Amino acid sequence: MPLERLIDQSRARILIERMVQDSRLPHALLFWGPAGSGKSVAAIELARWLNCREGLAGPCGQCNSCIQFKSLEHPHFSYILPLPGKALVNSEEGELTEAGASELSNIFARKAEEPYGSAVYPGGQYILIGQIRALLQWASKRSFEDLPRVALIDRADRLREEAGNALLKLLEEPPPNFILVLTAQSQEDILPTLRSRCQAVEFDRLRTESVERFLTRHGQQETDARRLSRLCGGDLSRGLNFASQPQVADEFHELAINIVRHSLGRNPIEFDALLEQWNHLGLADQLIVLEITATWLRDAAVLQALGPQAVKRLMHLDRLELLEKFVVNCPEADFAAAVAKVDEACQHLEGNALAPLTLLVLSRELYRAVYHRKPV
Amino acid sequence: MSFLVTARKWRPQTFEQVVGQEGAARTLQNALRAGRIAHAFIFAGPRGVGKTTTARLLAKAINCIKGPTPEPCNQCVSCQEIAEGRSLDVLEIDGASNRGVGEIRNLRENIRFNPVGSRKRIYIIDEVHMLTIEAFNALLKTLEEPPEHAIFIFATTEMNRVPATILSRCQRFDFRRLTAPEIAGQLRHIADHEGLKADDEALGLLARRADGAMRDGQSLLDQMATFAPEGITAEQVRTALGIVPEDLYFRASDLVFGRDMAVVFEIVDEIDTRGHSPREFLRGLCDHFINFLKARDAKSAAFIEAPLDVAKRYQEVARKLELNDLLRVLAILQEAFTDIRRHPNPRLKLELTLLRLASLEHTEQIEELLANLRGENPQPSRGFQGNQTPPRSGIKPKPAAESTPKPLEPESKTTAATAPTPRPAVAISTATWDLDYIRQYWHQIVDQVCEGRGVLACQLKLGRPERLEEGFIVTSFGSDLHDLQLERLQKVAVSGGFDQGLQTAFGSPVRLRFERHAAFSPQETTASTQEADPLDQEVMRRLGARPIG
Amino acid sequence: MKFKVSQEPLLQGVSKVSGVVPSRTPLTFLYNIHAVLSGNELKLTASDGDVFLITTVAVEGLEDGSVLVPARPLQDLLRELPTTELSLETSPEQHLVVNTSKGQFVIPGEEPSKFPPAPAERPPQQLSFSADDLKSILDQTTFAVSHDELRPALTGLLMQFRSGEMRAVATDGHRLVKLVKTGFQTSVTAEAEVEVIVPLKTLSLLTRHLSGDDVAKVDVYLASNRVVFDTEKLIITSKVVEGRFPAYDAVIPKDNPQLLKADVERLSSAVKRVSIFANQINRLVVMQLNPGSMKILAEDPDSGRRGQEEIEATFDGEPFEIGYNAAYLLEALRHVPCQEMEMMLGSPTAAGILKPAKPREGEDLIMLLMPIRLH
Repeated sequence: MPLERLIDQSRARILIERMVQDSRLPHALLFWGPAGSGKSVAAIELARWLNCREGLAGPCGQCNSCIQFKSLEHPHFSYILPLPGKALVNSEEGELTEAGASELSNIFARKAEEPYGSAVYPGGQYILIGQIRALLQWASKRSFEDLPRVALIDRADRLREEAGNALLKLLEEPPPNFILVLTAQSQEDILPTLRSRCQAVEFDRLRTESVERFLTRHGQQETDARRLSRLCGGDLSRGLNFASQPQVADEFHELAINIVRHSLGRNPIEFDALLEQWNHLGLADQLIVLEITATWLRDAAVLQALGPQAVKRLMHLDRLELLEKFVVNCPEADFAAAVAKVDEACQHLEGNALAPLTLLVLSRELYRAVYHRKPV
Repeated sequence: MSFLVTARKWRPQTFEQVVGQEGAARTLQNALRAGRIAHAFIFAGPRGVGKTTTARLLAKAINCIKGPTPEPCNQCVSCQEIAEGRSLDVLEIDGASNRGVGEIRNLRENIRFNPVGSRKRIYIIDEVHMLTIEAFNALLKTLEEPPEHAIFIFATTEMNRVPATILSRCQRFDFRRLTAPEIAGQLRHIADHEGLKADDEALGLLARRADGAMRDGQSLLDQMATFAPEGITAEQVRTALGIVPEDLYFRASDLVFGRDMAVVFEIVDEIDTRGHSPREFLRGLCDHFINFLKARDAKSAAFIEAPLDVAKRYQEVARKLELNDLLRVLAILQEAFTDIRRHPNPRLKLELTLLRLASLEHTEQIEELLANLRGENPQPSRGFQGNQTPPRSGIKPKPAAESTPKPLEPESKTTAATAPTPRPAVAISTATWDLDYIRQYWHQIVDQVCEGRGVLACQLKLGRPERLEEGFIVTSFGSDLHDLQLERLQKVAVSGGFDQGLQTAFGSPVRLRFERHAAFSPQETTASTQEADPLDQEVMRRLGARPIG
Repeated sequence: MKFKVSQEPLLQGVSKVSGVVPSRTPLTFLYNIHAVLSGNELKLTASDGDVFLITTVAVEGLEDGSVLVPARPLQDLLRELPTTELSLETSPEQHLVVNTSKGQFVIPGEEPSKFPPAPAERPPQQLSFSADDLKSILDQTTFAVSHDELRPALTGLLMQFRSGEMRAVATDGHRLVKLVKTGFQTSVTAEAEVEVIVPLKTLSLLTRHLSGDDVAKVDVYLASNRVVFDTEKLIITSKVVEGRFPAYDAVIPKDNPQLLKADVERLSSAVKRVSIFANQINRLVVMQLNPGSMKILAEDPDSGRRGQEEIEATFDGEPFEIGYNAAYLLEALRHVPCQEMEMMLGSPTAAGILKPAKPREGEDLIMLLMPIRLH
C-alpha cells in the first residue's frame, strides 16, 4: 500500500496518492503541519513508493530500492536538515566534517529505524548554504535510472535566508524527474518566494488515540501509552521520546504542574527548587515543559467551563483529582488568559530571553490571571 | 511521471502574455523599438508577479537574431537557448548564493569579455538585495562604467534592501501585485486551454487565495486539478482549501452572546471532524467579525463579500452587537491569529480563543474601559500587562474611502469620547487611521512593516506611538531599548527602510520618528514592584540583576 | 565466498577502485568495496555515488559469493602484507576473513545488497579509441571545462557522436574548445546521434588511469543517462551532467578573414614575459598585428608597469589590435599539439579561432578565444 507507514492524515494521503496516480505530481511540495505529525514520514514514504521497482502498486519492501530505503541510504534520496556550522568543513560548501558525516549517518539510521522519531542534529539551528550547494551538485548529475529523485528539506523554515534564495532556481526549474519536498510547521514560516513555488499539502495533528495505538504497538504498557499520548499532545516524535525515557516524561509533567502550583503559592523555598530544576533544562526541554503547562491550564479551563462533562476532553486525566482541586480553589481564574501567558513565555524563550527571568515573569502573570491582582 | 507545473508550462513567451504588468512591458517595448536600451534595469515587486519572466523576455528581445526587437521571435537559437537557460551570453545568477564580494569581483573581471555569439552579454541577478554591502560596492564600480556590450537586469522582492547608489544607476520598474480578477482571468484562460472544467466562482476563490501572485494562483490551480479532476467547483475549492462554511462562523459568533462553553467544544470538534484547519478557521473568523463591523453601517455593508441573504444576516446580527464588544473580539482574534501560526498545538489555541470569546464579559470591567475611554486614566491598571496590551478601547478605523483629514465623526456614544484628545488627533496627511487605532494594532502594524525582520520588529514593539505629526508617527521608547538599538532604528527609518512596509500598512506615505520618553517604560511597573516580591529578590540575587530604570 | 589469491594482484585491484571512495559521507555504504566472486573471477566495485569503478582480479575461486567491506582497512592490510599467498572467505556474519600463513584478519562487513549496483548493461553505442588517442582528446579539451556551478551543463565535457565523428567540446563562456575526432571504430551508424556531458571528476579519474596503468584500448559507451569507459583493466561507469549544452556551432565564427601564423613556443614565451606587466585582475595583453609582424603589449596603469615585445609572425590582414586574457591565451597555446599555430581573426570584438598548423592525425582542433574589450 502506498504511504503505508503514515498514520492518520487521510486528506494529505489522498492528495498525494492522487498526484502520483494521475501523473500530476508537481516538482515542489510543501508539507506543512504540526510537529510530529508525519510530514517527513510522508516524504520518505513518497520517495520509497516512487522508486519501487515493482511500480506504483506500492512499495513492495523486497526490491533493491526498497531495501536501500530501509536504511535511508538510497541513491535517489537526499535528506537535508538543519546542521550546526561545525558539521561542515566550511559552511559555504557542502563538504561534511568527519564528525558531521558520522553523526548524520547515525541520525539517518535512527530515522530509518523509526520514521516517526525526530531527526535532529544536536545544535543544528539552520540549513546552511553549503548544504544547498551540495544539493545543487547532486541535482546536476543525471541519475542512472529513470526513477524520480526526491530531496527532502526538513524544517525548511530553518533555511538561512541565503540558503533559501540559493534554492529558488532549483525549486522553480529542477531537472526532469526531480522532486523537492519541503516541510514546515506553518506556511507562513517559509520565505514567500519559496512558498509560492510549492504546492502545499496540509498535515493535521495526530489523534491522541492514534498515538496511543502506535505506542502500544511499539511495546508500551496500555496505561503508559495512554498517559504519554495525552502528554505529548499528538506529537508522535515527542511521544516516542517520552516512551524511550518515561522517567523524563514524568519529571516534565510534574515540573509543568509545579510551575502553576508554585506561581500561585509563591513560597520562595519551593520556587527556588523549581528554578533549580528549570535551569538544568535545555531550551528545547523548557519549551516542552511549558507546552505541558499550557495543556494543564487548558484542562483547567475546560473543567471550569464544562464541569463534569469535561472529563472525556481532558488531557491530564491521570491527575484529575489535583486538577479538580485546582479549579475549585480558583473560581475566578481566567485560565484562557493564563495559557496565553504561557504561549508568550514560549515565544520569549525562543527569542533567547533569559530562562529564569522568563519563568519569573510567567509566574507573576499566572498569578494575575488566576487571582486578578498582582502578587504581593 | 514527469509533470510540468502550470507556472512553467504557461510561462509567458511574449511581453503581451505577462499579466498585469502592462506598464513595465510597454515601456520596455518602446525602449526596444527605439533602440534606447539602458545598461541596467531593476525589477522590483512581490513574488510570483513576473519579474524573472520579464527579465528573460527582455534578454531574448535584446539578443534575438531579429533584435533588438519588442517582439522576440522565440524561434532563433538565441531565443531558444535563453528559454532553456543555456545561453552563453545570458547569465542568470542568484544574488543569494553569489552574494560575496569575491563573486562580484569575478563578474567584473569577466564582464570585459565580449559576448560569445550574441549582441549583448546579459547578467540577470535575481534577489539582488541579498548581496553584501561590499559586493554592492564592487558592483557599483561596474555600473558606473559599464562596458558597452553588457546589460544588467536585477530582480528583487525587497527593493528597500538595495542601496540607493545602485538604484540611481538603474532604470527602475515596479511590478505590482495582481488583482484577483486578473489572476482569475488568467486561470480561466489556462483552464480552458488545458481542458480543465472549472466554474467561475471556484477560480475566483483561488485567485483571491493567491494573494496577488500569479504563480501562487497557478500552483493552486494545479492542486485543484489533482483534487478534482472531473471539474473544479467552488464547493470543492472550499473543501480543498479548508474554507469553512458560513454557518460554523455564525455559530462561533453566537458564542459572544450565549456564553455556552459547551458550544465551544462542539465547534472545535466539528472543525476537527470536517478536517478544517484551526488556523484557517481563525482567519475566517476574523473576516467574519470584520463583516459585522461593515454591517453596522449601510454604506460599508455593501463591501461585505457574501451572497445577499448572508449579508442580510450579518446586518441583523450586527444590530445586537455593541461596537466595543466587536472591537474587543477582533483584538483577541487578531492576536490569536498571529500566535496560532507558530503555535505547537493550533487546535488548543483555537479552543482557548473561543473560550475567551465566550467568557469575555467575565473578565473585562466596563467601568475600567469607560474610564479608559474618557482618557481619565491613560494607563489604567494595565500596569502588569505593560507593553503587550495596547489600550483596548476606542479603536476605530475610519472607512477607507474617507481620505480627508477631518476629526473622527462621533458614531456612537461610546466612541465619541475618543475624539477629543489634547493634540490634533489626526495629523497624517491622508490619514485613514487615528492614533488609538495605531496603538491598538501596534504589534500587527509592526509585523507588517518589518515583514521578516524579526529583530527590528521586536524592538519596535517596545515603543509606544505617542502622537501623529506631519505625516510621522512619533513613537517613544523607554529604558528597555538600548541607545544603540534606538540609534539603529533611527538609521533604518531615516534611510527609508520602513517606508515600503508603512506604505503597505497604511496605504499612504507615512513615516516613523522615534524619541525617548523618560517617563515611559513598559518594564517599569514590573520593576517597581519587584522589591516587594521575595521571589523576584531571589531571582535577582541569583542573576546578579537589578531592576531596570 | 571463498578464494585464494596472492597479495599483489589483489592489492592492485583494490587500489584501482578505492581511489573513488569518498573520505566523508553520511552514506556509509560508499566507504565499502563490493566484491563478487564468480568462478575464478573476483569483481571489485567502489563508488562515490556518481562514478563506479569496477575491476576484476583473477583468483583461485573456491566458493562463489559476495561481500561488502570497508575499503580503508582492506587496502591498509594488503599494503602491509608481504608478497604472499592469501586465502579469503566470508563468515556467516558477513565478515571478511583474510588468512595468511601466519595470521588471520577479520574485517566486519555489511549486507552486500546495500550497495547500489552500477547499471549492468552496456549502452549499445560503442566507440573504440586507442588509449593514446583518447588521452590526447582529453588533454586538449578538458582544460576549458567550466568550474562555474551556476551553469552545470558547462561543468563537463560534451562528448557528441554525430555524422560518424566524435566531437569533444568544452567551454566556460569565455573560451571554447572543439575537437572533432575521426578514424575510430564504432558500432554506431553514421546517422545516429548521441551526446552526453561527462563530469570533470570522471574525466580526471579516467586520465589518471590512462596515464598510470598500461592501457592499450578504451571502449566508450554512450547513453542518455550514463557513460562507460572500459579499458579492460578498469570499467568506469559515470553519471552524466543534467541539462543541455549550448549550441556551440552558432558561436563559432564562420568567416574570420585574417590569418595569423606564429611559432607556439616563441609566442607563448613572449606572452609570459609581457603578461608580468599586465593588470593583475584582467591579465589583459594586446596583440598588435601588422603584415609580417606582431607585437605583444601589456600595461598596468595602476602601477605604471608596462612591457612589450615584438615577435616574428606572418599576418595577412589589415593592421589591428586585439586584447586577450594572458592566462587563457597561454593555456590555449600550451595545448597546441605542434610547433606552429594559426589564428583566424575577425574584428577586435569577435572571437578569435586558434588552431594547430598541423593537427594530429584524425583530429580537427579549434580553440575559440573571446577577446577582452580594449578601452
